[in-house]
Amino acid sequence: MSRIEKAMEKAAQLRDGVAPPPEGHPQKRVFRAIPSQPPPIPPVAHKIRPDNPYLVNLNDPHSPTAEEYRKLKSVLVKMTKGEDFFKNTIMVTSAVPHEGKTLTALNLAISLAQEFDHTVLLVDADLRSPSVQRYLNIDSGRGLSDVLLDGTDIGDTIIATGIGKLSIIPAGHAVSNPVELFTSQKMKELIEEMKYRYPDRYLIFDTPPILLFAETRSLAHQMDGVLFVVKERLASHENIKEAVEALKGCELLGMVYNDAILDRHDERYSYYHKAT
Amino acid sequence: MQSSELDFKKYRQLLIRRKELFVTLALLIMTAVTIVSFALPKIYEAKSTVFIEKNVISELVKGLTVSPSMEDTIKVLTYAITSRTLLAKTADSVDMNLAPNNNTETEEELVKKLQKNIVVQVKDKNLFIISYKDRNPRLAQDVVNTLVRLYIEENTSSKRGESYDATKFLSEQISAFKTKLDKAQDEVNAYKRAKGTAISIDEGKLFQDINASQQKLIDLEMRRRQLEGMRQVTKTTSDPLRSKLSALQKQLHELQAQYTDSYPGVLTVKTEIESIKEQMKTSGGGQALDSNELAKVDSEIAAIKISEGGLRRNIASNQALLRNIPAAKAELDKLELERNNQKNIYDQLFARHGQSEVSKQMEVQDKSTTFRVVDPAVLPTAPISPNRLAIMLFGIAGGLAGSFCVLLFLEQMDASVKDANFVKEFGVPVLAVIPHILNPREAAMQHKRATRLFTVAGVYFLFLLCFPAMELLGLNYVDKMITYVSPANLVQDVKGHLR
Repeated sequence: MSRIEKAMEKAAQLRDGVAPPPEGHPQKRVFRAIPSQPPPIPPVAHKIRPDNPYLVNLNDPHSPTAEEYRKLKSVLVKMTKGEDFFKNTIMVTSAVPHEGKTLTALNLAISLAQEFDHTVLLVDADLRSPSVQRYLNIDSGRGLSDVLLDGTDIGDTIIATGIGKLSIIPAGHAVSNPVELFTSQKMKELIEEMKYRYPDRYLIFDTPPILLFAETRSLAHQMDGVLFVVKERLASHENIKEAVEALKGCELLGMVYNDAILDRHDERYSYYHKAT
Repeated sequence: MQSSELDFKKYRQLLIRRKELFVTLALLIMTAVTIVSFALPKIYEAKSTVFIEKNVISELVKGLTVSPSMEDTIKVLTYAITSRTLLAKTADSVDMNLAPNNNTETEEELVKKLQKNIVVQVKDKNLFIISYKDRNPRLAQDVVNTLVRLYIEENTSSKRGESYDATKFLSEQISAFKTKLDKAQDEVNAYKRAKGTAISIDEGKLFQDINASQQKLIDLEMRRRQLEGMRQVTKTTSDPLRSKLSALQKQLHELQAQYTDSYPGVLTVKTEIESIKEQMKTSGGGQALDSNELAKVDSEIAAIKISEGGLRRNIASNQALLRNIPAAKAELDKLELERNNQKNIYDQLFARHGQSEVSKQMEVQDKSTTFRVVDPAVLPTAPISPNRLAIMLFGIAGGLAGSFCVLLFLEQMDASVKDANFVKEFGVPVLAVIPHILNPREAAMQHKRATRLFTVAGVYFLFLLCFPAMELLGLNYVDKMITYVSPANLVQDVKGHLR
């Protein structure tokens, strides 16, 4: 049986709800329990060609910005891939809206997916203002909210993007009570399932800003790591302080300082200009 | 150096980042200042130059006349011109207190306002520039001219009045002193009449007279004594015994001086004297005097005695006279001194009166210092304030500066994260610094937007520049427009139409 067949089978089992993820197991054990196998690649309906210029790792991979994302990626890989465990659920959030969470998540995901070692599933957990689809030019009705609310099979919501091994789960239909959804047992189960399904798959969650909405906080506690995006000249010092405090107890991996206006004459960056 | 360069970079960054706000704010400020410059009330200033000249005549008659001091006039001019009475009069005569929308202003306030706006400048000691500022150019002109006219009138009339008063006073004093002088003269005359002898006699002569009389008296006395002696002698020489006795007694005295009493010569003489005394006793002192001779002597003595009495009386009267002379003379001197004093004053008064008469005539004929209005106030055409050009230019500079200050302030107020180092203090590692992604399409759009903004701003700025330019060229279209659309005029128009 080829690996693909096995994967298909697994997917089928998943769809039928036969094989729930092993609950309550410590990660270490789980990691070992699941054999190393690539996740199923859902059939690519059509190869999407997002032309959004902000997706630098896709559209302008030689730019210094793309390089920065790559740097971020490698740091992150180092931080999450320990010797005996793999912190594969990563949440991207920020203190206030419009700090560039989605773009950070997307660029990071693309950068990871472009590597041969990783498959990446990007989950748009920002049910309030879903924007992953928009950046990727995807038009899909079903998504995370449908899975949580209507019991839609998660496999049906996964969209292969054709960008490396990157798949996404869109936010789905708009809901009025994301907090309830995210704090539900179902959400927990869903995350567990996704997390342990494939050992080398990164799960990146794009979430709403932490200061404004409660669901992010509950979600943060279920994550292996939190990436905190700070955009220059947006959130105040106080906001960030508050947000960092709100994330206490979670695995705060680090900050991504976004949208920095850099001095072009700064030597540190002139190198890239020469390089490109 | 390093930090200032850093600051400069920071400011440049700030400007670049918020260029739109900067431009908008700057233009807003400039517009506001321009509007204010037009909205500020226009203040007109009317000026009059007054020259205080000293007449030639006054130089000619210097010393003859007494003119009010020019220095004094100049000294008090500023105060005099801004005096309450004069200003009140001025306000009255230009009907300021009757002006519309002036009902609330009391005279006090009106005078204060005038005082505040009047400026008197002294130039070259006798050239005055009197200026007044008001919103109404015609009023400004009227006030200055009226003020100057009233001041000159008042000054002239007061000087005339002074001269009149001086002359009048002097003539009064002259008549008073004339009576006093006459009285003193009369007193002197009366005294002279009363004590004429005592005063007219020469003291030295009188003294000589007395001396001569005394000498004469002494002579007469001597003569009388002689005569009296002769009478005695006539009596004794007729007796030989007596003469012999006296000779013997004389001899005895001589001898006794040399010898003792027992000296024979002395004894002899003594006995001889005894014997003669015996003889004289026996003869019984026979009077054998010539009676004729005696009578003659006696009558002579009597005559002398009468003469002596006359002389003595003469001397006594003369001496009494002499004693009286100093007192009389002193009294006369006193009276004369008094008279002289009166006369002195009278003379001076009289001389002054003459001067004052001339002065009066000069004042009457306006021949002394005169105020000449060199330059009467003309209707001011251009307001002195507000200096719109300066205000507008200032507004342009202020707009830029103010806008920049607002940016700085906003930047200061902006508590947001401004650089990557800033977030390090949270103790969370900064995994990546993502530079600003330049989206060509968005950049192009922004550029287009900026271009549009700058174009609009540029055009608007040029439009704003038109106002200072108009001001510079002296075109007053805006003023005309303002007057045309001013609410008061509109109300008037409406009223006119209603009628």
